Amino acid sequence: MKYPINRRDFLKFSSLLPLMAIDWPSLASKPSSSSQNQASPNVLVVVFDAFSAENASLYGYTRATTPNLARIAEKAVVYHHHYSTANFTTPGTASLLTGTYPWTHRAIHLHGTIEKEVVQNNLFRQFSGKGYTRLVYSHNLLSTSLLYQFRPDLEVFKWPRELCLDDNQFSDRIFPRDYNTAFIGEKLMMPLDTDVSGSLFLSLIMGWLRGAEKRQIEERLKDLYPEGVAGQYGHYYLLETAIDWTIKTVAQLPQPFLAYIHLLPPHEPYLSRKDFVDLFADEWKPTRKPKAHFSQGYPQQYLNQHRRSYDEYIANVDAEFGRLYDSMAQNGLLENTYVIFTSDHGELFERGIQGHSTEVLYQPVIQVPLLIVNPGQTKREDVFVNTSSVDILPTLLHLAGINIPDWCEGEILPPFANTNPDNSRSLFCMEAKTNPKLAPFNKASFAVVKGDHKLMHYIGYDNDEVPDFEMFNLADDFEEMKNRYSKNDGVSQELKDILLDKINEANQRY
Amino acid sequence: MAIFKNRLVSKQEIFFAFVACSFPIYIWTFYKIFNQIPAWIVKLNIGEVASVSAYAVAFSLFESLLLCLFFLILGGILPERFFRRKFVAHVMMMMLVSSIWAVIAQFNYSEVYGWTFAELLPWLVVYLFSILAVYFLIQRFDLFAKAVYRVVKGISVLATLYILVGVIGLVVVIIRNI
Repeated sequence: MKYPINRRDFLKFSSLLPLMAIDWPSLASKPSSSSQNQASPNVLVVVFDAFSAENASLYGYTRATTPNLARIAEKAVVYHHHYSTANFTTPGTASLLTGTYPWTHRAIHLHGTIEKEVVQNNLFRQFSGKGYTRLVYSHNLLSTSLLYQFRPDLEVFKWPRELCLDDNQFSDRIFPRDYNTAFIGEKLMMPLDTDVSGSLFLSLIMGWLRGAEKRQIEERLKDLYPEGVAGQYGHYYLLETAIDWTIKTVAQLPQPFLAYIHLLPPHEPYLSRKDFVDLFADEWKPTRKPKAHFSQGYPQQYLNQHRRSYDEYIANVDAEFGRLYDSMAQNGLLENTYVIFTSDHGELFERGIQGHSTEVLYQPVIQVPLLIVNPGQTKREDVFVNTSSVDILPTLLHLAGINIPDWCEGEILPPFANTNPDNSRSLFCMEAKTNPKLAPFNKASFAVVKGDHKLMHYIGYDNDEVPDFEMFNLADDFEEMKNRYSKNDGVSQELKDILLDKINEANQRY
Repeated sequence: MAIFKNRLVSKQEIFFAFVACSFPIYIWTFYKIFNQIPAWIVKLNIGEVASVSAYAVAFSLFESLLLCLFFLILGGILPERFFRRKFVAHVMMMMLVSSIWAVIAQFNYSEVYGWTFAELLPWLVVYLFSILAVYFLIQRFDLFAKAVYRVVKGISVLATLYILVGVIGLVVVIIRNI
């Protein structure tokens, strides 16, 4: 009997078996370049973590931190009063990606996740069935926990370690089906940071080896990064590597695409490339502000030193974003791509506080940059009305011609909306790291911004020095130096009523 | 094969060695879990807290097995009178001393993490001396070795419970990942 294939053919065929490992279903869902939908624009959202608008010269900062953003802004929409909904990554990013406030998505803790009932209300799900290739990457493990929840709605999900210099995390590799829980377990047992670990012996061996690896990396790169290599939770990364990858990836992705890239710089540690070290070795000193009721006790000189390093790191980020923009311009991608440049929260160097691990919601920690590079735009457009990160989702849906769902709590940003910009809208920010996830807010900080005024409200803090309310007129006191809250003041009362109503509404669910 | 069998300790001794290894490891893991629970319950529900704990205790089971294996290999390599004759007592005391040093290192981890090998070396020498000290105590004093053996027998009930928890944790982890 003659068989249709002989032994040699069978072996040839067998050699192709490894190809079975390719994720065919996801590739099949991607449109080929020949069938790409030219009418649908690409969307690239680039989030630089902890980028405060206050420290960007684009918005008038004294140091020339963002010459590239200023250049790019000449053909973009620049938002001058853009707010994150929170003062750290998890809630800020969750709001950006769900178009809802933290009291709705409930990702309000470090390594917190979006409430199960809300998780399907995300940006990527809205783009499904529209022919888009949806890709995400984040350096930041906090936002990775959120992006992991959206995995069913993504064609490409890239793990943080894939663009990092080391490869020490194991929960993503061993437990990819249960990453978020396994990650908290790993964080408990193995030294992802310098906390006491739950593994008595192995964690010490692993930790010391990781420390040795870090020293090796820093030694290898000391000519380029003389102050050290930045890292978070034991991952060490180079901004330049991530930008190189982004340049290459967006050029090759099947179009139309929706890409969300979340990069850690200028997040602490502020370790810039050598070209930016000592860039701002000047005598400039920021306005000295009184110690906050939540002061961490840092002296002004310490804060000024860190602010300088942060400013230099921002200049580094600015240069790298400029490189990405130029590359996209060169290969013609900007002709059909909306590029959104923003951040998840800001950073503080004042009132005895450094960073963003704080209960306060002063401007530097919640006001973030927002630039939208609009295909075909030839001149700069400035938007001065207050806007929020919850507005990004409806705006992107609008730009892609997708209906905006009812659950969305944001609005289409001007000038893309068909209506006139409305500055009488109330925008909210909050911090509730220690409040239980599914419970009324009884320990939290809130802020409402309306027009020129901003009211902050602190609930449940034991410290008697913490005021219940603070109010500032941002038009003539953008440094928030003079608390104008008064029970007899009409604006104070109006903002207080708006905020308390909103908190009561949020609490009614529990 | 016969040579290999001769160099292996009895099943009961293996069990007690495993008890000696798992006892400090689980105590530490439970301490960390209970330490973290207040932070977890604000963001995780009861099921999620149990799942994270399952990963932790399953990891401890793995760590205990690894250390027990190390001692079994050591027992197999060293001549009988040097280690195997008082195997359980040696393992228990080595684990006890190592655990004390490990706890000290854990509480100073942010410093230890940054040490070069040269900085670590003096501490490794001190650690090895403390191990040798308890080793000679066990070798020299039979009464001491017997007392340690009795302690191991005493804690074996509790340790069996820990091991059971570890096995349940492992099953939970497997179920969550299939």
